[in-house]
Amino acid sequence: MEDQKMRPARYLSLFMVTALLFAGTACNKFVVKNVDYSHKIESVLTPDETGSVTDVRHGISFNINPFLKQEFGEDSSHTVDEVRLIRDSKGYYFITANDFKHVYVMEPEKSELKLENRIKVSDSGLNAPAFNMRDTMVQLIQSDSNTVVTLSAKGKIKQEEQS
Amino acid sequence: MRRLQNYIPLTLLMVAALLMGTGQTFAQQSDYQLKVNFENQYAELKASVDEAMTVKEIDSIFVEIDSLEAKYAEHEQLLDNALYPDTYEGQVADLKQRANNAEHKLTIISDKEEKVAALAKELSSYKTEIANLRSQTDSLRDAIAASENSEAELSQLVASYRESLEKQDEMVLAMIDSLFATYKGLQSQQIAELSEKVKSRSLEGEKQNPAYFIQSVITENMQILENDSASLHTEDYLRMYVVQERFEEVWNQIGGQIATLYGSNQPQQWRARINSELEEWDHKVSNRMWASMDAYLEEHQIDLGDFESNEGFYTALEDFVKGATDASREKVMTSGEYQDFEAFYDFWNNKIKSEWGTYVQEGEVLTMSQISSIDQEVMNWQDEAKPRSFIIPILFGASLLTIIGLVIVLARSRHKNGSSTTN
Repeated sequence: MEDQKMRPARYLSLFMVTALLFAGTACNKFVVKNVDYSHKIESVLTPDETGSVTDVRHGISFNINPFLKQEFGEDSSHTVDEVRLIRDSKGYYFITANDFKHVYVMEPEKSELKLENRIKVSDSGLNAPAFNMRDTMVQLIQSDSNTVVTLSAKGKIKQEEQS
Repeated sequence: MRRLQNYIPLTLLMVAALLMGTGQTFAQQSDYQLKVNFENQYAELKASVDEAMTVKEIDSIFVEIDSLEAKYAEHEQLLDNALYPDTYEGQVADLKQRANNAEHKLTIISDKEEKVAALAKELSSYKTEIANLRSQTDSLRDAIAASENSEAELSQLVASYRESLEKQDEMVLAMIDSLFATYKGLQSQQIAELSEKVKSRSLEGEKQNPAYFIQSVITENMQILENDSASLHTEDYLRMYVVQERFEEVWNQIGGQIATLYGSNQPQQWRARINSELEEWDHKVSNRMWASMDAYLEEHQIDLGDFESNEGFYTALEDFVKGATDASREKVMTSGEYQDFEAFYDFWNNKIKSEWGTYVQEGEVLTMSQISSIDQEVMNWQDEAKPRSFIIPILFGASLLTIIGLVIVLARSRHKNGSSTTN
């Protein structure tokens, strides 16, 4: 009989603890939605002698050498004069350069850029590529082949040949 | 059918051209490249504005700015993003403002340039006229020196010589005024730009170069002072003194500009050389003018003592008049001593204030306040210097004595009458 009297009190304390846990979790997960990270125009960055590039306007600095190794192999001494970078609305960085066969989609992490996707865009290497931002979508323009490739972090969305 | 076959290649060509045209219209350009193209064209126009040398060039740049604006207007939003924190509209407005400023500046330069060109012609003609006058005065001076003619003829030669020198001075003053009007208020940047144009107009030669003109005027005037001593009067030296004063005043205001514009590659040396020559000219003309004034006063038996400067002359005048006034106050003036006053009064009123008045004021030999002060002193002197008549005091004394005599006589006769009655 006494045991039966104790049950509601136990349930009450269990409920209180659970409520507190939920409240605490909610405080840690403060989230602002619908953030647009997109750059309206690409940045064209020139690597220094160590391969570092800095985009002063958008506040990012990284080394291009890991990309060169990815693109041309560990032993290659291939260099690039310019690196082209644009960020989409979700916050992914799209990076490519002359002679690259790929566009690298990088996700920013704490002090690092993590490869999200490597999109193949050319068989022989790009010649004078350029990124544009059109309606929140990143477009890669290949002026030599008059091709416009619409990209997302997942890959190619659309490829158009322009006459 | 054959006709149709003839049209096929033409039609194909037109279709191909249309397709190419359409292709060009649709071909997407890199936004970054568009921004770079805009920046390049903008920078080119900005440089063109900065380098423009004529208003005409600026006018054509305005057309190019309008064309740039029309070309990129549809990309305004993109360029606003790309040019952040600047904006497309802000940059175009800035470029237009820059072009407006340049146009304003070039209009002033162009105006000055026209004035400089006109002045160069004027200088050339002045130089010719001054040279003619110079040769005329040289001949007259030689004729005076070698004259064996009558006094009347010699006097005529001297008068012509002085007149010729006066004309020369008038021309120099007119030229100096033209120089001042042309070069006053030029800013250093305008001088630098005008300098380029002056060089391109080949004004380096002596005839049209104001720096050479100024130097030649100084040299010629110093030569006149060295060569002519007997024929010139105080009035001539006063006029020459005024010319030197005006010359120096104008040089102090525009000398820097003229030396920079026309002093070849040594503007500082040019300026220093002309400064030094002006100082020498000032020294010479002042000495001659004061010596001539002193000689005139001596000739008219007015002893002001020594003076060699404007201030010294004023002090001498003031001391002389005050001294003479005090002396007149202390003793009874006679009509002979009154002549001293009259001699000074004639010098003061008829020479200093009237005949030489213009030069005395223009050359600031005496300032207006100094002239007023001396005027007041002269009036005091005049009051004290008037010779007094002794007739009235004598008559008064005589009358007094007569009255006293009559009173005594009257008193005595009464006394006599009184004593006889008692007896």
